[in-house]
Amino acid sequence: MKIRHLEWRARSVVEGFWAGLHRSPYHGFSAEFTEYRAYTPGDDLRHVDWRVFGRSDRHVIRKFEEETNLRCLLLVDQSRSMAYGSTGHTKADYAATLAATLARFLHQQGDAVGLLSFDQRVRDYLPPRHRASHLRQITLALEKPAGGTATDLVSPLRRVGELVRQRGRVVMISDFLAPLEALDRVLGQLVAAGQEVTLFRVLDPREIAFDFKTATLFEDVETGRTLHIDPDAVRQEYLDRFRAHAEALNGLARRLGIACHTVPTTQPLETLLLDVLRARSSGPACHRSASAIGR
Amino acid sequence: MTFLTPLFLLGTLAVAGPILFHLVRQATRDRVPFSSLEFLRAAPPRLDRRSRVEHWLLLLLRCAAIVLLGLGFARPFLKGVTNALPGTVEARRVVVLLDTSASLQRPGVWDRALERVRHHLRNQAGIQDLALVTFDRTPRVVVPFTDWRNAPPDTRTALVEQRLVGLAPGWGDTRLDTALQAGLDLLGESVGGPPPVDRELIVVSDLQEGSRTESLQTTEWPKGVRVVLDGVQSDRPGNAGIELLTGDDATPEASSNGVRVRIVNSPDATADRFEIAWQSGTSTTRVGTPMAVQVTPGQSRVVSLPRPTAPGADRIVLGGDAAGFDNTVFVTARPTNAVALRYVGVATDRTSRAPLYFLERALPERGTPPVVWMQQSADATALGGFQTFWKLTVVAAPPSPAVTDSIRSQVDQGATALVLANTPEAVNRLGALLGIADLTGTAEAQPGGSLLVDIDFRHPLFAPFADPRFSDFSRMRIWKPMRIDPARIPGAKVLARLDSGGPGLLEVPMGRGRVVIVPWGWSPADSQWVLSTKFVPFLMALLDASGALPSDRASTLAVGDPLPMPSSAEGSARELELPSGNRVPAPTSGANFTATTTPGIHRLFGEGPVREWAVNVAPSESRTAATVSGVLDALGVPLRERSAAEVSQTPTPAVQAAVETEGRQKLWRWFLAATLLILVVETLAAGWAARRSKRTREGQTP
Repeated sequence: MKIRHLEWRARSVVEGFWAGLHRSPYHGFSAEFTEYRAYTPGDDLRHVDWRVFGRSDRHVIRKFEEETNLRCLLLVDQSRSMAYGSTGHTKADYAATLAATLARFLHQQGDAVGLLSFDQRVRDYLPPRHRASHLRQITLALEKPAGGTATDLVSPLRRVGELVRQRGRVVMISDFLAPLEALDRVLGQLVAAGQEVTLFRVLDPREIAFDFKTATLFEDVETGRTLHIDPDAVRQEYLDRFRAHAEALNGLARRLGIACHTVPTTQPLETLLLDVLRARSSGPACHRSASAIGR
Repeated sequence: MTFLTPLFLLGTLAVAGPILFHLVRQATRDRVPFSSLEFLRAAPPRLDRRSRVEHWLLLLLRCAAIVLLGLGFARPFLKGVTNALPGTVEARRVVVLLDTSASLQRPGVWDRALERVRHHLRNQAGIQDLALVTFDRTPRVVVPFTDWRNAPPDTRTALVEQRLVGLAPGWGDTRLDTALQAGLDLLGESVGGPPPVDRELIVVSDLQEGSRTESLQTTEWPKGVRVVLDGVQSDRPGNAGIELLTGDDATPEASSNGVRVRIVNSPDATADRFEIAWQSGTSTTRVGTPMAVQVTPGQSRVVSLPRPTAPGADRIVLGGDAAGFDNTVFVTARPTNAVALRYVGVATDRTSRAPLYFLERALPERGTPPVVWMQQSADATALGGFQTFWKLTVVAAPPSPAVTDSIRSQVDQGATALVLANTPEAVNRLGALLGIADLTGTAEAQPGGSLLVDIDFRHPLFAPFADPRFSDFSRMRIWKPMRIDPARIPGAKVLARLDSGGPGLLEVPMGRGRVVIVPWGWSPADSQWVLSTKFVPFLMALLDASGALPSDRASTLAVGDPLPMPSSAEGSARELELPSGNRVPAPTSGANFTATTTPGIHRLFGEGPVREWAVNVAPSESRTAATVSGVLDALGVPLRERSAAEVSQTPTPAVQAAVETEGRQKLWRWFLAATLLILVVETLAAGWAARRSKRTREGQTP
């Protein structure tokens, strides 16, 4: 998070991770073959590889060069609750970096990556593509500041169901600090439609531990609502309710067989990606980070 | 401890402010942002007394500052302590200038003025020296500093009261500038040591518009001097006055028909209908028919009132105005103060050949100035024992030895004699006058006449012609001049020459006077002189040079103006009759009679005809609108006007004593200093507390 530029930040994570990946047994899940064939009259001239023609004086059609076998859509929460952070960076920063890292990682693998950012409504939608400029557009969309006065988890997922017809992967990055009632149904629909869904729950350490000391006026960064709160008086109750909410999310994930990762913003992204890959190889389940709640 | 203005103690109730702010701030101070309050419930901090006020020190400091400020404004003083705190007594020197001009005679004004003086006497706190000066045209010290200092403190008020008893407003005009300068001089006097720094001029006056302030333009006001204007007003607003128009204001036509007067009505007047009438000195009944005059407030009007046929009327009275001090104007009988000159010539010759014919027309009796030519026969052998002193004598014919002796003695005393030496005999007699034996002259007529050349235009007699526009004497011819050898006359000064070579005009000093010799005749047969345009200006220059012109060109004088006594022969007894009817010895010739304290006709009895002077209240006294303070302000006078509150309330002796005690102790200064000190400490403490709470907040806020 010390690197200010999101694209460079994602690149440094991916490069470090990529370098370590060669020693890993889990590489190459989307290696793609590219084919050339001789030009025949009637072929679209747009597909002629002119570089080959320049070198060898032969007309060759570039076939399946941009096609991929994986389509991944990143759903990133940009509501104001994500703008909270007590560790020098906000949850939104962390989520954006995580999304950018995943996008780059998938792009390097040759997969198509798309983005849908949301708060209480859908903000930006970039359909999955595999182009270098597309990665840049994703990065730009992720750099937008958090906004909105509420978080609606259901409508983006419903929208995804409408937009994405092909099978693929859906990665949702949010703090999930919102009611979970309707989430069950819409996630179930996605899974039923053949989408592989992964949830990243990004949380600030203070949200997890609630280690405030003095009585003061608390302000909801999303709605602006204020409350006089004596932390000592409400801490245990908060932790209980927070834990219950987390359990509800995890239970939902387990029921639907989707992966759910709770990520404190203090966790390095490299280790997170490794955890994710490891978990994926061992099947869908809900995971906690090493520094997550419960300690 | 007692308070002079205890109402200010209510201000200490503001101490509730800091207490409230300290409590309120506790509840609403900082906000900590948090991602979601979904899992939180309201749990306000427990409210017990100890936990509500955080910064006890700050609260106490702020409360103390407010309480001390309130106490300071309430002007505290310790009743039992009479000794002043060191450095708190400021010795003051006060000069009270009391206006005694004629306008103070308006109803109620003088009583109010005395009351104001008594008020200032009661307020003696810190007064080291006090002087009481009355003023109208001239300032008069009634109570000097020394009398005030020498009197025991408890008898000082009585001393001034005693001096006030004999005072009353007079008839003089208001010369505020002279009075202020006199007061300023008094303030700067050293009375047993250097004057105090704090000096005050208190002017108790009606502050009328007609006050003279011109000479204050150049007055430098020393530091520490302030002028308090304490204005007093009349019971009835407005005033109308009457003024006699003289000199340039009165046309000859008008003065021949009657007397022109100006009636002035002040802007705040309520009356606008007046009447003027002649009145005699012996009775209060009017003489002749009164004239109704309407003058709107703020305006003036000039009317001509015909002289009554009945004798004895010597004043015009304005009716319809409440303030009567300026409603009478005294008028002398005509002709007023004519200049009497002696003409020595042939008594029987009144033809157009005689110089007198032209003199009477050049300087007529009804001219300005009116001139009366007193004839004396040139061949008179004996003159009476009583001789008038003539400042100018014109000798047109060879005088007899007796007349010559008379002329010589008067010239020795300072008179001027103009001698026409146009015949050998006249030259011979001139020699007798000058004491030169065998002074001869020869007629030297030349064809075409002689001209005056080499004229000394620097001499007073020819000074009016010094301008090149008037210096052309080439058209004036002299047919029959006499040639006199100027070398034979000791001290003779040739003022002009004839182009034939002889002297044209000579001046010979003699004793305290002088003899002007004209060696040619004035009749048209002798010269063109009397017909030329130079004749009248020359005569006026001669009158001026001989001192024959009266200094009082105006026939009316203001109260306080000196009466110029006409010249008289030494030893002659003269008496001056004052308006009251009393007769006093008149000053000797050349001196002035200065005690014109009352308006009225002053008459001089002695040699010759009775001379009269009308002395009136100065017209400026009629302008009674109280507007001079603005003028003084514009002139840079360091004013401190008495506030309306000061005017309306006269404090009781107890309150006065409290004010004095408080003024000496000035405890409010200490309270103010303590407040400032506490505020400094509070600022430092607040800064420290703010830094500390900021550090605490930084640990809580993301």
